[in-house]
Amino acid sequence: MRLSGLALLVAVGFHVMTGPAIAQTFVFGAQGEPVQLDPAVITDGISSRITRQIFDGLVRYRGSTTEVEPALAEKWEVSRDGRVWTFELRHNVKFHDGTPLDAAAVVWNFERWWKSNHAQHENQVKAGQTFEYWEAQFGGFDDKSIVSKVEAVGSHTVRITLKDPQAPFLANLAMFVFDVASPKAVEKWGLEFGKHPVGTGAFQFVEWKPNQEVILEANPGYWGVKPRVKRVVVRNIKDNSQRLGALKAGEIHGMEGLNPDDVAVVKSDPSLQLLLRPTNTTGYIAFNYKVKEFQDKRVRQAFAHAINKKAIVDALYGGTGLVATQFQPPSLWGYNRELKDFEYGPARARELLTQAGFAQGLSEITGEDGKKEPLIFWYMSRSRPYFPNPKEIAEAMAADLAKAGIKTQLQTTEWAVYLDKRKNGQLPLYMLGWTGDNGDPDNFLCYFFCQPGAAREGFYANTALADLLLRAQKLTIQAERARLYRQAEQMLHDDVGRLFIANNQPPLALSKRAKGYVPHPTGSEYFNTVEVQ
Amino acid sequence: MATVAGAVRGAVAAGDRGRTPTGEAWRRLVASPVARAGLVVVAAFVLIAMITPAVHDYDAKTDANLMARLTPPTAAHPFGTDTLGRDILVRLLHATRVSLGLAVSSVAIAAVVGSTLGFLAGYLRRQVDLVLMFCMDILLAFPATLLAIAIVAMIGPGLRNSLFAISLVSIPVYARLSRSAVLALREQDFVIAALSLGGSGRRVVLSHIVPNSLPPLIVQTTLSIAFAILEAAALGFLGLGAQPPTPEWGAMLADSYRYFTSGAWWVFFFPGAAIMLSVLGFNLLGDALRDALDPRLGRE
Repeated sequence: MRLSGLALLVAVGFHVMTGPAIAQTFVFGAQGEPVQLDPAVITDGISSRITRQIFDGLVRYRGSTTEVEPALAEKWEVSRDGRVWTFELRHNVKFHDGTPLDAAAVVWNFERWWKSNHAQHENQVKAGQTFEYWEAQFGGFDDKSIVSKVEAVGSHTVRITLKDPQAPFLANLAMFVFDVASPKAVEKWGLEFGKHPVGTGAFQFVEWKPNQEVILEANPGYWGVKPRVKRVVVRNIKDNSQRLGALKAGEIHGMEGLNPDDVAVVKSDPSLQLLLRPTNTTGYIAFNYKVKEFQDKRVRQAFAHAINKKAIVDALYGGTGLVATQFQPPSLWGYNRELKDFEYGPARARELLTQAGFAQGLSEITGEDGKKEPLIFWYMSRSRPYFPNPKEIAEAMAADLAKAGIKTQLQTTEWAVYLDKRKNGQLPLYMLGWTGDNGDPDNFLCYFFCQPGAAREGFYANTALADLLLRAQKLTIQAERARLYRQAEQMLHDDVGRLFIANNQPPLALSKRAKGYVPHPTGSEYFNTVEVQ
Repeated sequence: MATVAGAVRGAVAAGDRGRTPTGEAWRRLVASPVARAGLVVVAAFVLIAMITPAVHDYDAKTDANLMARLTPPTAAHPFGTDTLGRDILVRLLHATRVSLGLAVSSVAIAAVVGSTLGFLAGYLRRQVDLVLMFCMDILLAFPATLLAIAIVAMIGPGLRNSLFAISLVSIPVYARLSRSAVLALREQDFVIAALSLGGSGRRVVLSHIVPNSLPPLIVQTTLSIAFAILEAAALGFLGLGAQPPTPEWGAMLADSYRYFTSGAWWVFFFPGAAIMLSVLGFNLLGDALRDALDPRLGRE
């Protein structure tokens, strides 16, 4: 006994002496509290960052790209007509609760997402846990879905049959939403599964302390790159400055949500490093087409010429922003490099306003009922990667507009209410944006413009654009699709359907002690490659 | 001995100027250095609030110059520029009218409404008193700031709504103060005398009770303005008060505290200092007024 105690002491002493000690825990500072941890029913990045550590999908994105690589499926085949996909699952993979990962488990997961009469689906939807992303990516539930059959054709072989070919199918499957959960655990916990997540990922769930942190532990049996740290703690620090303070004090090792003006602070701090996520995000201003004045294209053009995007991007993005000329960020293969953006020119804007009959400027709008009301410009109350400091950006844009004779009143409301009002088409003029989920142009354009006249998109009805986008979705040759998406961007530009303001490369700040962090365009990085020295 | 002689001399001197209670109180007020400091600060802010809009034209809607953002204090911008390149001094001066105006008008409303309710309750007593004071107790049961936030959150942000909210949460103090003054005064001999001489109830209240209960109300008003400035700043800080780009101290502070980490101290220092100074000024004045108006304290 005494001897082994001494040996331990020596071992510890030796470990301490041999320098760079490997820390056992990686602490990441998040911008808020996860909604819950069932990947199938969440849509927000704060939650998905954590579920990405706990779960794997059939396929995943490689490194910092949106190219697809094998994950739980080792390989796959697609039929000539692009409708039948066969996935071969990795053998000897177990969920954290010991349940084996096999074809039956994968089929069970698909049915939970897809079939409205699946016991667990029904249960969750009743409780308000809706499968939003399944609906958006695969056309709906039951018969409405583009998926027509999912079957186990062997113990580790899954076959998925589609009604029509879907070009972004694999890219869709790699999204965090379609990560595979342990059927046993979902059935055991029911609605509480989101608080007791069980997957096959590199880390398993330990504890969620509400409003504080979520603690994960390395999964020693992980099939992929073994985690370099024993524990991961995702700590909730809402305030950007406070989070940076925690990073400087060494309480956390990494963080997102940096104030643009703090980018320079991080760059000049010798103990910190700055990482940029590849750009995959666009901030825009949207019009409500029920507003009579906005139905006149000249008015929309006046807006486009009035806003000095370059000045805003240069001043308010901490050097990580880019001027957006179209909806897709330049990293996407459907990006239109030929497109010529509106030039900044308040005089030109005034001229267009005068032509449209607003020589005195525009400060009131006419609603559907013919009533005049002040023109309210809604800005976001929450910082997002595309508009990192929405209030300042809104004030700058409003000042630009005012200089061209468009006098707006700035207004905001709580984030959830804001999104709700937008969904119901109640905002006359507002700012918002989008971060891509899967690297496919379809994910940007079709989500917004495939349903002409939708209230969610301010009743913008461009049927020609929608037809084009739906056509592009069914093609399988990328070059042909790219041509259609470039054309779509030109159509959107010519119609001034929306004002695209900026792309951003969202900055991350890490301690120099943290190595191996690979920033990802979707904003959800895997922590198993991270090491803390 | 010397002190007694001094006191006698003082009394005689005061007597020379006519010893009206108001004159006496004013004399005592300006005699105190604390009060003088408070008076000067308050007068300065009031002056700024009144003069600025008359001598300087400012359109907040078009004010932005991104090229000059976050300039440290220089001769051209003595207080520096903010995150949109707006001159902080200019915005602070114009914000004085907004912040002070909001505070003063909400206190004026609260004082009038609150003390009327208090006089009514104290004079009519019985059910009226019971119901009114019960309502005031409910209002007092909530922390004032929280209640103001709740009200604005309910009826929507904006200057007018925060004016309403701040007035509402300030009413109970006045109601309670004036009610207790009435209750104390109605038992006093001169009130009983006035009544027994045949004075009508209304006449007695208006010409005897109200004037005699004014001193505590005046003190409270001054202290309330300090509180209302803070309250307005709190609402502005939370984005519930003045809406951008209207300059207001609390909102200016809220827009700028994030620059703490990047070292642009001037963007939050000056709005913070304005709030602090004005609150300090009104508090000093209020304390001094309390001393000056309390006859029991006497001199020396």
